[in-house]
Amino acid sequence: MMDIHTHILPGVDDGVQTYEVALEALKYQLNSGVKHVVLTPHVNNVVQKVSSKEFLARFEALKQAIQKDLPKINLYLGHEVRYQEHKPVDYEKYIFQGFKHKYLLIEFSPNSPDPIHDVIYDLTAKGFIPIIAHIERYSYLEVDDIMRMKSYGAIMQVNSGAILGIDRKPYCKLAKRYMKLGIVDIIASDCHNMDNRKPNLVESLKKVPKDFKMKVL
Amino acid sequence: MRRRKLFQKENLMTYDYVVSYEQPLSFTAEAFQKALVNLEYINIDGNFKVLQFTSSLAGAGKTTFISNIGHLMGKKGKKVVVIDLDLRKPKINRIFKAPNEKGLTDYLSGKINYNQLVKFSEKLNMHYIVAGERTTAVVNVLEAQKLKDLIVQLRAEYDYVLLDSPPIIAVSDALYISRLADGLIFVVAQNETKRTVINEAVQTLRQNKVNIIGTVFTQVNIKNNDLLSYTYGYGYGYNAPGDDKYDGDK
Repeated sequence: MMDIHTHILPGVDDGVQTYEVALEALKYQLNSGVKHVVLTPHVNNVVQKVSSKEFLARFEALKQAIQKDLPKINLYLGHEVRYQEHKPVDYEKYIFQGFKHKYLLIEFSPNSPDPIHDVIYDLTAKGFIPIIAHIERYSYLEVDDIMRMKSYGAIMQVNSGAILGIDRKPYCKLAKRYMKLGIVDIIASDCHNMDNRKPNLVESLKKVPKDFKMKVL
Repeated sequence: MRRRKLFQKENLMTYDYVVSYEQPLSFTAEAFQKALVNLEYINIDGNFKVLQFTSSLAGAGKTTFISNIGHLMGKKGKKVVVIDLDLRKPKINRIFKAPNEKGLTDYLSGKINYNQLVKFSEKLNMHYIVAGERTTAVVNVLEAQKLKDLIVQLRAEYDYVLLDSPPIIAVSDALYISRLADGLIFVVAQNETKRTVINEAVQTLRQNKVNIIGTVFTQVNIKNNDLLSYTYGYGYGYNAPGDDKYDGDK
């Protein structure tokens, strides 16, 4: 199983801060049955602490250290890009590394309505396969729009915390609704730490409808 | 509530399905052909080179109409360019399945040059200019001298310049665009717009001395309409500029 949305790369954003916690989180993942983990640090976001040029070096260092301690786990580098109007970003730099297609994890503002539909259309027209992060947070998004974006080839991701009911209440409600409608493709943990945002992907899979099938990247 | 719905309606479904390309022998394609014949008839002297398309509210079928008529013009050997001046909700790029980048706003801000701006679609045999990066200074863009110069340049180079513009009632952009165009074609959708809303829009245009050269009636239900059930789904009207009884100084 693969977890495509985690903030385990230590010390680069508001996610995991130290190597020890990162190791603990990855151990937790492995014990629950997740063998492939994509590390997706925040990009183009206020919580980002380190320049994105340093991500690759830090990732390689982490990978080498993990290989000694936890040789069974496979790590990949990705990014979680925040869309900001009037701030053009070179998305080509931030795709998932080591995959066949150009997957791009993108997040939007949960409060002020972003033109999600137009952005996703542009990205698919440029040849990316956009993955919309935690789709349950955009209360302004309509189901028709989601269906249209799916028809272009976009992938919808829901956080496991929202399915387990430990996220904020409106998010949990919306996540449940989307699961019922069958528009969710992927569940990911979006883990930040080991306290309140754990890597609880496998636990959440027990609470989803029986016909749910996770998409494999 | 109802009013909000009226303004929010937006046609998002299938812009890349150009009926006069996919089904060239269908009734609908024939109706577009007919509209083109009418358009060429009034344009016999070549006075109307830069044409603006607008409607009272969103979702009337402006972009669909432009894509079809542009394709038919291109098919006839005319050199056509479509410009997306609906900078708030740009849709022209969807006809050509292209991303909305390297467009008009980028050209006006000097990021790209003229050759990068105008793109060509092999499939539909027409040139197009997308809106480009989103901007909040829409009115400034539409009033820019560089845009006027661009239109002049395109006018010299192409047979037809088609301008896609926002609806009139919602925003004022269409009135700014009308200063760039030779004539305006008003798109009305059946069963979509109230008569009073159309009158309001037309009155606004008349007050601004816009030359409305015709109206297009779109989204006609062919099955339930005795009058139009014969062959076509799109009608086309024409007001001669001379005998315009509404055109008084109000």
